[in-house]
Order: sequence, then structure tokens, then C-alpha cells
Amino acid sequence: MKNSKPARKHSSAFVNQLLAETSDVEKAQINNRMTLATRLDDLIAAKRWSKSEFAAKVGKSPSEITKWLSGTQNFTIDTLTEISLAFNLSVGELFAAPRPKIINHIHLLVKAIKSEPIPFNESVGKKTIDSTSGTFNSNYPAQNFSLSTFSNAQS
Amino acid sequence: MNYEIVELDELSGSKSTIYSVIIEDEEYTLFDSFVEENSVDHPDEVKLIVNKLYQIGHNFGAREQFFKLAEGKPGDGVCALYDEEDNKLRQYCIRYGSALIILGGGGPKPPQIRAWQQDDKLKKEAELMIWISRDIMKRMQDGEIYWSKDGTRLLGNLKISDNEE
Repeated sequence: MKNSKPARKHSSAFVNQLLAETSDVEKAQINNRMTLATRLDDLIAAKRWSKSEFAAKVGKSPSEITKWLSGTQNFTIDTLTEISLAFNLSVGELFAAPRPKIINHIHLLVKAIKSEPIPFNESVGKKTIDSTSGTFNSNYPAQNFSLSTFSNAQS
Repeated sequence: MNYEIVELDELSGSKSTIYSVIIEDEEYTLFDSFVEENSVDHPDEVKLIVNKLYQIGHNFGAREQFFKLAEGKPGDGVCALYDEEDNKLRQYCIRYGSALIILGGGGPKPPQIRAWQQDDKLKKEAELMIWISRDIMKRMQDGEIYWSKDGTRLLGNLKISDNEE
């Protein structure tokens, strides 16, 4: 029979002691460095930049960026300013938790004007969405589709 | 070699499950030994490493960016926690995505060396993690060790004895 036991839990006196010796200020410093590192990593990913591309934008080497992302960097305000400008954000926004994208309204309209059978040919069935208007373009002659959304997403 | 994979109660959290390994019938895990061995000469660095691991377990997960990858052999997941620029300690672990890591030992990296192969202590610690990683992989292929459904925990026979083979 398959053993489905999880691992035994181990409590370490060494680890406990070190955690107890860490001041609240030290904990907050470590947390802030790691928070900023993860935020930078997420921002770079959102822009679809490589580390090298981001490095070029802030005039640093890729190895410097690796260090920034490692959660060990103590940034100066000048460096934070350079980073924020690369992302077109304020320095304060670098520390702000990204707002989750919440769609709070969707309007979906599908109209069937004509209901005749559609003859098969290769061009029928090719559909595209016009990304600017949200209009669904189809070779099906009898259908129209519109979609509108409102959200709080940041551009 | 007999060993047991144990979950580190203080470091594990909702973002990442953190394990270490007890070799044979030792009282301490490989990570405990790392902390004990380096607490006198590198107290601040050891404290920082423990706190970073706490943050990884509870707040951030074992994101790739926090680790120096490919410290072992291709595909074995052996890596080292990134240290601060002036720090010298290497702490080895096996990373399975951001949800799970197994901590090993490590030691100070002398400034004159470029790779762990050039230092006896680091070589011993890194090679042990490479061996453990391979052994776990083999036991996973055999179905002896497997993932929990949510992918955050190891299940199965985690107390491994050579006699069972």
C-alpha cells in the first residue's frame, strides 16, 4: 500500500534562537528588500523585457540586475528614481502592491439576424476580434457580436 | 546511505514548504549543522540567511530570483541562496519550483576560488545535495516518493533506509 504520510516536522533550536534574536527593524528591512525585488521582477515580466533589456534601460550590467532581483540589494533613492523612470512610475508606486484586475461589468450582445443554413466553404468560420472596438468580425453573415468591459486595470 | 527528509517547522509557511535532511541517526538536520558551524564566525550572515528563508516560506515563495541556479549538475535543481555582496557563506539547497525547497549544508566560500569544486568543504556539501537530489528523483520515478495533489509537499517514504532496496 502506498505510504501517503507527509514528512515529520522538525523544530530547530538554532533557527528559533536566530529568529528570536532578529529585531523588528531587521525583519522589516529584509522583508522590504525582498518585496522590492519581487516587485521589480514582476514589472520586468509585465513589460516582457529580458534582464538585459532592462539593464540597458537603466544603464547597468545584467549581473547588476541579477543582484537587484536577489532580494539582497539596499537601494539608494537615486537608483530607485532611475528604476521608476524606466517603468514610467513614481518611486512610491514601486512599493505599492499591484492592484488586482477586477472586471466589474461585461456587456455581451449576440444577435442572429438571419437563420438560414450556411453553406460550407473554407472561408466560412474565420473569425477575428477587432481589438480596438471589441467587435467580433465573422464570415458568418447573420451574426453580430459586441463586447464591452469596464475594469480598474492600470494601463 | 540512510536519511530522512523532515519539514522545518519554523521556516515552512503558506508560500513554500521548506525541508532539510537528517543523515543516518544524527540529531540535527544538514541545515541545523550549517547554522551551528557558522554561527560563531559569520553570525550576521547566518541570521540573514535564516530570516530570508523565513520570508521565503511565509511571504514570497522560493522564487527563482532568490537563488543562484545550476550549482549542481544539469536538471538536479541544486542551487544556492543568494548572499549579500560582501558575504561569504554558501548555503546549498534543492529547489522544486517556488513551492518547495530542501535545505542542505554549506560553508564559507574563500575569495580566491571561483567554484565549489575548489574547496573541500563546499565540494562535500554540494556533492551531498547532488546525490540526495538524484536519489529523490530515482525514488520519485519508482513511486516511493511523490508530490501532494497541490504540489506543495512531498509524500511517501521520506525516511529512507538502504536496507529497503
